[in-house]
Amino acid sequence: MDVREAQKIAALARLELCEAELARFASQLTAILGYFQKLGEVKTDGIPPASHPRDLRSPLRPDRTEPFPAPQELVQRSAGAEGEFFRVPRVLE
Amino acid sequence: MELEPVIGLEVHCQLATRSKLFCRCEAGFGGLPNSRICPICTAQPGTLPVLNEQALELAIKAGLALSCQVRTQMKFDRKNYFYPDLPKGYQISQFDEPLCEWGEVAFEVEKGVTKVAKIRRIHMEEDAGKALHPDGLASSLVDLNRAGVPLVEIVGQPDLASPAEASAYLQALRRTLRFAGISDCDMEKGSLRCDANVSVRPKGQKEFGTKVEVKNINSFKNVERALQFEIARQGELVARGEKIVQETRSFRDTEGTTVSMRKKENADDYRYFPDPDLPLFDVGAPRIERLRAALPEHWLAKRKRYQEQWGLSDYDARVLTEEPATARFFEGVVAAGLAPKVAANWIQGEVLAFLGETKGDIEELKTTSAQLRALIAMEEGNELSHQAAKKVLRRMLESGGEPRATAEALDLLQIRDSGALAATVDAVLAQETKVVADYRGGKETALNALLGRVMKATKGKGDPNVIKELLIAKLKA
Amino acid sequence: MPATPTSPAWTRSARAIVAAVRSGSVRARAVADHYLARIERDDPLVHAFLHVDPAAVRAQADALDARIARGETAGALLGVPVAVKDNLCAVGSPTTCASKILEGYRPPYDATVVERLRAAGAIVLGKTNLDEFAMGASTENSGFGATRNPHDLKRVPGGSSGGSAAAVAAGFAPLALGSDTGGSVRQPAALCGVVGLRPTYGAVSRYGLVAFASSLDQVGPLALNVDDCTLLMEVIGGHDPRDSTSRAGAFGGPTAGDALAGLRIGIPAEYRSDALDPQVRAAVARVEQLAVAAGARLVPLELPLTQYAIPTYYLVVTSEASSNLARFDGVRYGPRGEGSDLSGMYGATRGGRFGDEVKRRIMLGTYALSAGYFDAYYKKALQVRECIGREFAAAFAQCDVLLGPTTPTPAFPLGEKSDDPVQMYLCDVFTAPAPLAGLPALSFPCGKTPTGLPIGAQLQGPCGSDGRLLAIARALERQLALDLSPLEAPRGA
Repeated sequence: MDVREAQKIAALARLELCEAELARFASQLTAILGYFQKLGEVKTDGIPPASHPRDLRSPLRPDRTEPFPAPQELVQRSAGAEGEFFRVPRVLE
Repeated sequence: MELEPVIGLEVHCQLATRSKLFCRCEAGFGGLPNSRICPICTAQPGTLPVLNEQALELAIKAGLALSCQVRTQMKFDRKNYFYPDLPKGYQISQFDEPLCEWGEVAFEVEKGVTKVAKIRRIHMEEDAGKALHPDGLASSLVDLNRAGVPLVEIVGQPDLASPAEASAYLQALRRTLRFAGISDCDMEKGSLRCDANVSVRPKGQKEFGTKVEVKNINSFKNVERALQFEIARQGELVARGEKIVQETRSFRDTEGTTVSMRKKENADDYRYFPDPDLPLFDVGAPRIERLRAALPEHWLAKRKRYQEQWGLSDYDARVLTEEPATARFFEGVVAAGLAPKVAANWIQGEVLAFLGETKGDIEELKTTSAQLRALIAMEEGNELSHQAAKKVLRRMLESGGEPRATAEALDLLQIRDSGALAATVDAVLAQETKVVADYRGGKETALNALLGRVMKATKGKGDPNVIKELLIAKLKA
Repeated sequence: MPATPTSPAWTRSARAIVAAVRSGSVRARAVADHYLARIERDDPLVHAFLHVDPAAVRAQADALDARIARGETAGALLGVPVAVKDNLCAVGSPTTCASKILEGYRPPYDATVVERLRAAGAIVLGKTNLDEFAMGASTENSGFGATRNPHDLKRVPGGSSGGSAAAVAAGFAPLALGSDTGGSVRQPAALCGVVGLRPTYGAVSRYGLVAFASSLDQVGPLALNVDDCTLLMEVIGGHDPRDSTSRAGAFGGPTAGDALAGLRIGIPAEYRSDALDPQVRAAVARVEQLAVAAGARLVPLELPLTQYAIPTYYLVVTSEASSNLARFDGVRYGPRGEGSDLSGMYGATRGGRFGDEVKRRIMLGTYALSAGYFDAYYKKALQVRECIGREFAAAFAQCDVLLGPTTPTPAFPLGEKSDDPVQMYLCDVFTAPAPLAGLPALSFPCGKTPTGLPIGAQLQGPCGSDGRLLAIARALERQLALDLSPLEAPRGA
């Protein structure tokens, strides 16, 4: 992973990193990914990916409402609480 | 070079549940900003999702109503991106294994010409909140009431060849969802949203042109407007020999134009992966079959049945299958014993006319089908004249109420007691000596004139049969 | 050196505290005061806790005493103070995950396990230090300063539940809750000389545990001895409808009868590698001998995929973490970085407030999930994960449990591995495989080095064998007959 690639990944992850951090992460991640290449030694043809424990199943919940008693309290804990809203710096797209 | 458009619609539809998809907040509409939020849908650290069973069942019903194959086992994936209206920084959605696949929508291009468009997939996902960008403010404001509301995304194949087809497809899709009880599909409330993928190609060419996604089509009339503009825009580019850029464009309602939102080359990398908080779901074939068996009749089947079984005209059958509530009301009246044609006439002639005049909603009708049936029974039993029955119904539609009580209140019940009518008959006979003479002189039609006078004198309430008998008896005397 | 006053006898076990409080011989308030005093005196050296609110602790104790005075003495943990890892939400206290991005955050709800503690009559004593978002094996990655090993203050307590393990070992709390993703309960338990259980995945609710890697995270108990560990597990375990990964009856409960007679103990060759510290090796060998003497049979076997557990584990956890930590964006809670537009605010908040290891893992996970790399990294890791699960299943066809060391070495000095991520990752070599397969695993003290550093042995069993592991560990604990009382004071100041 070079610095340019690290920069791309950092942008995707919304991490603002300085030049020095980018360079350091690029070299550390290169080393880690190199070590991870080891997985190539394991034959996995036809093996299903195990994203969850195989025997677990998700439950279903009855469609009943139970309003949270203090929704405005959730807004108040925002560093950008403004009236009933969460305020954020303007979205520029 | 003649160009033809290729259109596919992506429709988001809110499932008609009480609570949100993964938490127990109300999935309502309106109200104060951030009044329907909780630790889960605001993504407080440590909170976890649990799926709403009703949402799953409605999504399955959507698939069944649109003739899709439905998975017996399903999973959810995370779609990762940052936006302030997306509390977790990812949307719980379905990526490579949507709940339903390969369905179809039949729609009428013009009268008598039906076309079928394929549905590629239907998947479940949670809605995001709403970010507002008020003019002149250096900030954006976020309301999370919608965050976590259950949606299905219905992705159509690019089978539509004109804006008119797209519009007809969307109407048919909406009607199907509404008749199946999946959603109210109200575009104004945002419970139905439509994005369109549009490209143009030389007529006859097999390959697709470069696709542009048009977003923010927020009403039915805008579907055609937005597509017409976009097709024309692409046509002009081709005519000028310019390249069409793959991008997302936003429809501007006020100008009737589309403007570029973002180019595809710097598209987000959503990093989809299975949501580890939600193990596999056993949807189960028995559940699917139970829902299939309980699925309400498709509106097209109803339309056919009304004509073939009940002898309604094509026009009547159409009108009565426009809205689920209309069909429900109509079938209710028929079930209560009224002949389908009579029921159709009353509903069209009176009920729908009333709703048209008052811009009312059939869902909020104050009269039940049983009440309408009872009213017509009074007419059949000569308790009300046809005209009086119409007046009574009008009042019932306006203010509610039972037919008999309403007829009494309006003093429209027919007078059938010959004793009560005798005095009026005598008075008319005493007054109309010439007409009486005519009748007695053999002019049979004079009887009708006398009947008319008596009816007028009773303000239309007298039972014409009783009056006729009285007149004949008295004239013979 | 002034003589340290000897602690009351009930400090030797949570069960003793419950008995004393229930009988009325000791008030809950006195118990709370004892631990608060220990924390006040010695935690400045150890730094096991991030938040302790003595007034709130005393209030909880007083409320319990009032209840007891009314004759209400129910509660499996009546009057027992419990230290809670600071990635578990508890109303009335901050929950920071030892991260500056959650500085000052106060959760609006109790984690299910905290709710169950309170319902059992326990006292939430305080929130313990951890590697930021549980990412680490030394508790040096805390955004609020490292925790030290009470057995040798120059050494790490292990991690990421280093604060919880140190608190129990140091005598600051009789019980603690930790969380284990790849060894975060067992590894610090081993390095601090206490018992730590990683339950079967799904046996304990994750609701209210701030997610690091959802498919592996489990809340687990830490205690001075196996009985106490069992007691705490009985309180926190069981199905929770708020967690879709929760299971009913997974814990199994303690097994009656002789746990060792006829027991088939698998001894994987891979757990005796050359990298293993000889003292650790010797201590585990002694456990094997005691087990055999008590009627167990050793089954030598091989788990050749063990060496692939670390890369598999790190790809899975970093991928999940990159998504789980996306919610920390400064919009709805937590402090916010400066930025003139949204992107700037996001970047400043996340770039400025996450620590190095967290950023490194978010980068790694984002990369592993990104277009073009998904199949080679994330998907490949999930396939190897499946293979590891199958290998364990095959092993448990031959034996009942696996026995080996918890860690390759005893506690290492602070700073020794903090500059080399791969070396730090290798600390998890024996603890990472079980979580990949959802298995329960338990670390219990099995000896000490000549300089007094604790050594832990690990038992692993099939899913749902938590109760059996506890029963076996209890039998071995008796055979070993070690002194399991907490330290009267930290060592090596």
